[in-house]
Amino acid sequence: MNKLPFLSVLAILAGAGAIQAAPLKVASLSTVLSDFARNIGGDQVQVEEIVKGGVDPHDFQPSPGDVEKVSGADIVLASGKGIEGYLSKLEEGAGGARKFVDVGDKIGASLQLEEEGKLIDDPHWWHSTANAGKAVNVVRDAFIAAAPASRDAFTAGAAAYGAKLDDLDKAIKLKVAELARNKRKLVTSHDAFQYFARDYGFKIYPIEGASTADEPSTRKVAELLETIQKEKVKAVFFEHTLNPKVITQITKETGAKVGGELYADGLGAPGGDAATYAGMMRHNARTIVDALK
Amino acid sequence: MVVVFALAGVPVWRLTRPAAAVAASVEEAPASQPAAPLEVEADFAPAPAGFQVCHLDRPVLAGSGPLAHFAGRWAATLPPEGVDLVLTARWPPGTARAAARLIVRLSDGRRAEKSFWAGEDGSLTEVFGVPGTP
Repeated sequence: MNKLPFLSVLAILAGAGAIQAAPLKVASLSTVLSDFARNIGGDQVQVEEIVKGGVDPHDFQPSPGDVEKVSGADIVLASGKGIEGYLSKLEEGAGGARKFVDVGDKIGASLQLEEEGKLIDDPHWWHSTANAGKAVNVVRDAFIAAAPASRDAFTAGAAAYGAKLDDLDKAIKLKVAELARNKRKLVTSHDAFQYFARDYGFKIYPIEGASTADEPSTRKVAELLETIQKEKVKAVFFEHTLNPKVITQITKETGAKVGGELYADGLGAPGGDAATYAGMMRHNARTIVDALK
Repeated sequence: MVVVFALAGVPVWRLTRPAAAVAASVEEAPASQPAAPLEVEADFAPAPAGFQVCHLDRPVLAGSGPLAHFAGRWAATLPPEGVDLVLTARWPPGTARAAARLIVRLSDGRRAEKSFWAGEDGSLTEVFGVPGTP
């Protein structure tokens, strides 16, 4: 057989530059990780958001269509630390855990929360820009392992985004410096901001526990009312999942105002100011500081 | 290579040289609370075009070149949680490797200090945490 035409075609393609590989198919179970993936991968990745902006990951359950999308992906990014209660079933349905990347597990040590008498890992690691930087490195390494030919692109993307995270951390520190340290007391719906509190010097008084499914007891609400009055907390912050009667009781009995909406469990809807990780963090910092000043 | 390293050390060397002190602006503490004065010092290499150290947007120390060392007394009530000071400084564009060092001496003898580097645009904005009473 004359191989010359085939070899000629190959030579032309090689001469034109490297043959363009298909983008890496990434399925993401976290809106934060979707944003990281796009920033790291650029046009070398195609990101499918299984959990979308505005959706509560504590309540999310994958549909058969989601399982199919995950099955077709090269890599699946999971937030980890127990927030995706359905993860093992999803791994089973998608043909195994091999392509799943548990980012939360790989970024290392956690803060711990007490829930129903036992200690659990706080799953809300993304509220620390230091953790975000570690997560970016985990995602970068996973991308490189899956598509080594794009190593340079992924490395450059991660480095550029890491520099943006440093700027973000500095901007948040500057905003928080507008608030006297003795006013850094944060009353929130559920216990999602411990990493933020650690990094920026706040004390958290959560109404619910680590999950939005928790319901505050009467005793817990009474203790919180006493704390808000004693600590002279000016504003409290709620999410839409909290029982509105609890909100009314707290604001009526303490005089504290509603400080605004915080994004606790992921990014906001597309087009909003919390549609990206940086946007979400800036929104939360600004909302908290301006309400407590 | 030795010359490069030696030149890189010049800003750090300049920070440790004694230089003239300049009286600083002072933020007064509320009269009803006892104030424990803090000594605030700022050193620059080279001398800045201008700088301010602020607490909750109120100046604690401010000044400009050609002097490079500034000191003042801040009559503040240091809360148990401590305070955050914000240092902003600027140098003429193109100034290579400008640096600043902030030192706060507390009335109980403790001392907090930190060095900062300006960006390529010749500006610097940083938060400096002062610990509270133990």
